[in-house]
Parts: sequence; C-alpha cells; structure tokens
Amino acid sequence: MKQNYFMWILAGVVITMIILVIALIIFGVNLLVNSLKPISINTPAPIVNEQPVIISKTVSKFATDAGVLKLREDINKLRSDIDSVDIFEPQLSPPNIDLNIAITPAD
Amino acid sequence: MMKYFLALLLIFFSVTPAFADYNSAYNDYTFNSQKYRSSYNEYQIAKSTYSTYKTLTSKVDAVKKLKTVLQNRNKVMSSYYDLLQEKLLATPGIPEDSKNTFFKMKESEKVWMAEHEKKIDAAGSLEDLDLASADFEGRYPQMASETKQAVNMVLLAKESALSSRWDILANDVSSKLKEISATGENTALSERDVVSARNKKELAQAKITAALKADLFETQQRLTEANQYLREGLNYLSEIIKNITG
Repeated sequence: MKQNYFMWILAGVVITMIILVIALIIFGVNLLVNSLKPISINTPAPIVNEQPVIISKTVSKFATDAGVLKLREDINKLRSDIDSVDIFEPQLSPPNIDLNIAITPAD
Repeated sequence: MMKYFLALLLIFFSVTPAFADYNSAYNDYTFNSQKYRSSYNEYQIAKSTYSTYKTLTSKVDAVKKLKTVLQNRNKVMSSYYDLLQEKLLATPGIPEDSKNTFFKMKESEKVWMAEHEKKIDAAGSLEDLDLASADFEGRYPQMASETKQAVNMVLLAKESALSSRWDILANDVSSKLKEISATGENTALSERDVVSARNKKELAQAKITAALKADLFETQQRLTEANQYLREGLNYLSEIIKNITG
C-alpha cells in the first residue's frame, strides 16, 4: 500500500518535470523566432530646409599664442602654491613649558 | 661622462644638507621636548610625595627631580633656538641681516643658558633650585619675543615670495594686453579687470604690512586674509586670459 502511494507520487513529480521542460522549450523557441524577425521602422518624411543655417564660431587668434598659454599655466601654478602654502608652521610652535617650576621647602 | 655624473652628485649633496639640518634639528627638539615632559611628570610626583611625607628621602628625591626638569627645560629652549635657526637658513627670501640678528640673539641666549646650567648644577637645596627656576622665568619673556620674531620672519618671507610672483604675473598680463591692443583688438574690458586685480593686490599688501608688527597668532590671521585677496586677484587675471583665448 505504502509502496503504491510512493510510486504514484514519484510518477506525478516526473510528469510535472516533463511538462515544465516542454513548456520551457516552447517558450525559448518562440523567443528565438521573434528575435530573428526583421524590425520595421516607420521612417518619417525627410525635412527639406529651404534656407540652410550656417553656424560659425570665431576662434580667437590668441587662443594658441605661446605667451598667453604660458600666462595661464603660471596663474594656475601660483594659485596652487597659494592654496598649499603653510601659514601656520605647526613644527615651529613654541615649546609647551611650565615657567612656574618650584618645590616649596617644608618647615 | 664620469665628470658629469660627479658634478651632478656634488650639486645633489650641496642642496640636501639644508633640509637634512632642519630635520635633524627638529628631531633633536622633539626628543628634548619628550625628555622634558617625562622629567616634568617625575618632578610632579616627587613634589607631591615630598609635600605629603616631608621625609629626608623624599626631599633628596625632590631636589634630584627638580634639578633634572630645570636642566631639561633649558635644553628644550636651546634646541628650539637651533630649530628656528635652521628654518631661517632653509627659507628663501629672508634678508641676511635679519638672519644674522637672530643668530646673535641665539648665541646670547645660549651663553645665558650655559651660565644658568652651571647655577642649576651647583644648587644643592630646594631654595637654590627655586631661585634658579625664577631666573629662567624672568628671562623667558625675552626668549619668547625673539623666537616669535623668527617665526614671523619665516611666515612673512613665504608670503612675500608669493606676493612678488603675483606682481610679476600681473605685469606680464598687462604687457600682453598692450601687445594685443596694438593689433587693433578691443581690450578695454580686460584692462578694467587688471585694475580690479591690482586693487585686490593692494588689499593683500595692507594685510601683509599689518602682519609685520603683529604677534604670531595675528600674523597668521592677517596672512590668511592676504592669501584670500591674492586668490581673488588671480581670478581676475584668469578671467582676462579666458577673454583673450576666447
């Protein structure tokens, strides 16, 4: 009796697994088929400009001047040095000493 | 090839001693400070023990510990003077006569401390040591003033170096603007920025001048403010370069 019961459960599990595998295969095949289909894009009608817009940017003739570039570099260097200068010099702080060192003799 | 290598080595070793001397002086100063703190703690214990028990043993120990702490206090000050001397030597832009003035002051204090050391060594009682300690206390305001001057010199030299570079840069920018103006370009806006930059520089200079006569804390505050004005002036110069390059 018990053995029959166990056999029925085992059969149920096996059948369920088979159904799941078949479902996964079908799903995977559908996914593959859909990915191979060509995607259609609706292309809009081309826009024709009757008057072309020309954008021009004037580049300064000093943009690449060596003297100007050097000045920019020097400004940045000086700024960096000002930012990093140590105004407090903690190593030079005066020593912490007691000026009132004394032992009063007992009477 | 060997000649060039030896020349390079010579240059290298002639530059590094300045930093090595300062680092060595700083290590000495740190060492003496630690010794002083340690002997100070022992003096405190001995003082407390003596005032509690008033025995001969505790008195002898108190004399010994008091002597040690007074000697170590002298050594701390002596090594502090040495540290400041090395810093003055290692800091560019300090006038020679200012350095020499400090060196003379240092030598004078060293002579005083040597005599004071003899007084401490010769002292055999608490009363004598208390007197010796009071001598140091009386001398200290002079030492404090001299050492603060030396630190101020270092800070001001660093600030002056930055200020000089700023002036050179502003002059170079002005020259470049004149050159650009000569080509027919309109530089009116940039020239106004130069004026604004120089105004900031004047404010920085006023702070530097105020720092000359200030104590250490105030010097640091004034120089911090001066640096802020220098930065603001640099922002104007930077803006000019952006306008030039487009």
